[in-house]
Amino acid sequence: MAQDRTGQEDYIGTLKRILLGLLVLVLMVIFLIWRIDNPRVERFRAQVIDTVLPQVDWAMAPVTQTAKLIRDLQSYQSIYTQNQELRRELQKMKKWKEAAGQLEQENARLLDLNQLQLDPKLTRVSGIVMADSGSPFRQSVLLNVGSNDGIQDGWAAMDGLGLVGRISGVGEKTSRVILLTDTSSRIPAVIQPSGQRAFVSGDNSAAPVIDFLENRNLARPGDRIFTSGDAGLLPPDLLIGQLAQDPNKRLRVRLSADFERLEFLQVLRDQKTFNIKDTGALIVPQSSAEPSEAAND
Amino acid sequence: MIDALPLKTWAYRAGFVFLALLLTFTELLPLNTLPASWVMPDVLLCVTFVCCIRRPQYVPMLIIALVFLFQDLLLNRPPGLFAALTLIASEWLKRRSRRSEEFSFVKEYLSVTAAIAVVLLGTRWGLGVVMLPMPEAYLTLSELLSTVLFYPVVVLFTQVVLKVRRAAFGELEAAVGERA
Repeated sequence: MAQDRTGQEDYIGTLKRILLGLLVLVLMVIFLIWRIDNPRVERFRAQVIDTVLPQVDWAMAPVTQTAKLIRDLQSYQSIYTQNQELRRELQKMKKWKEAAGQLEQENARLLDLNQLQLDPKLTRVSGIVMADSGSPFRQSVLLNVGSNDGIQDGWAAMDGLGLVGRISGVGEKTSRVILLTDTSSRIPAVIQPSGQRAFVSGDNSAAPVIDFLENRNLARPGDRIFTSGDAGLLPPDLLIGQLAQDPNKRLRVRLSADFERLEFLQVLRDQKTFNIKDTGALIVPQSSAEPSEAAND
Repeated sequence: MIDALPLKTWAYRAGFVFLALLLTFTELLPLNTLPASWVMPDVLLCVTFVCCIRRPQYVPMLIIALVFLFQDLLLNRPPGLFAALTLIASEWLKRRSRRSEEFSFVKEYLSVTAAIAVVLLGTRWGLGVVMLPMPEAYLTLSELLSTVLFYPVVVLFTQVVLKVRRAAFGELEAAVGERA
């Protein structure tokens, strides 16, 4: 083929090669811009998703529901054993209900003593999960509420019981929740009853890892983990889960929220969030002269 | 030159774009919000490579670049990197397919395996080069393995159901001549 190629074809081949080079260059430049000015490109991404996803939601919702229906049907097969299990659990729950009732009374008395008011700022916005991240490397979901509903970056998202993640990326009609299981998720937490501070960091597994724990001996599997509210990152005292130990003796969190079925999430309004608008500056020593002085000391 | 292209080619191109959108939205369905331990194959990558080898005129560069950039944005991947690597790999496959008169399935499968490896491992290392945390190795490797294993399924589907075979040497020449 190389021999009988005419001049015209050669010309087209060269043209194609130039086009290929140009396209690859443009794509790599986009990648580099994303690396350098991440917040801006991520905002652009949120806008793209915001315009695209609501358009196809009418198609995605029924498909999702049908798939869930089929999965539910499969679980009906094991309905007898499930029923037995539920009965046993119900028995246990009754015991807990009794305990909870007593605690509630006690709590009411103590609150009364303290003249304490619950924070009225902690109101909620409910959203429906429209889509997941679509990539096995990222753990996030898209909600059908966005800046039109007053959602802001950094707010906490819960299911009925426990923390699910933080808002990161808001469009007009959609917003993205980075789940606790995502590798970029780090949540300051407090372990009760020992009151130790730690980080709950996601590692792409169902149970995030506990990091930066001061005294391991004080933490026992089964301890409850709450957000600590350190650095004003999230409201304090939101339930995250229970402490557990994996076979490699690493401490992990068994999450309270049901991550298998995230359908409705509640986003907690939080007044004092800070927005990341630009790429931020380098963290440098206070003054360049200081290290040498410190060395002299 | 472009006007000379038959309407059928444009119909197939539109079909490819539609299929790409469909596959992207299926990936977005919130069916499983737990982290996966085994990664599903990247079907769109397989489909694109099958097209590159069998009917390169249906997947021109610009369409590949736009479709994969769009997928990058929607699927929360670093935008541009995956698209650029896919574009390079698919152009390489097109050239190999066009150059060689006889392209046995074994040869095709080896080339495609190399192409998939370049795209998936390249994406991983590309993140490392710009000093971003790389995803876990087992995730990338399982995606690589499942995509490579899935490729013959797509080939079988195109040959048995769609009855699309690799264009014979002369046909492709004719197509190129037509465009020129």
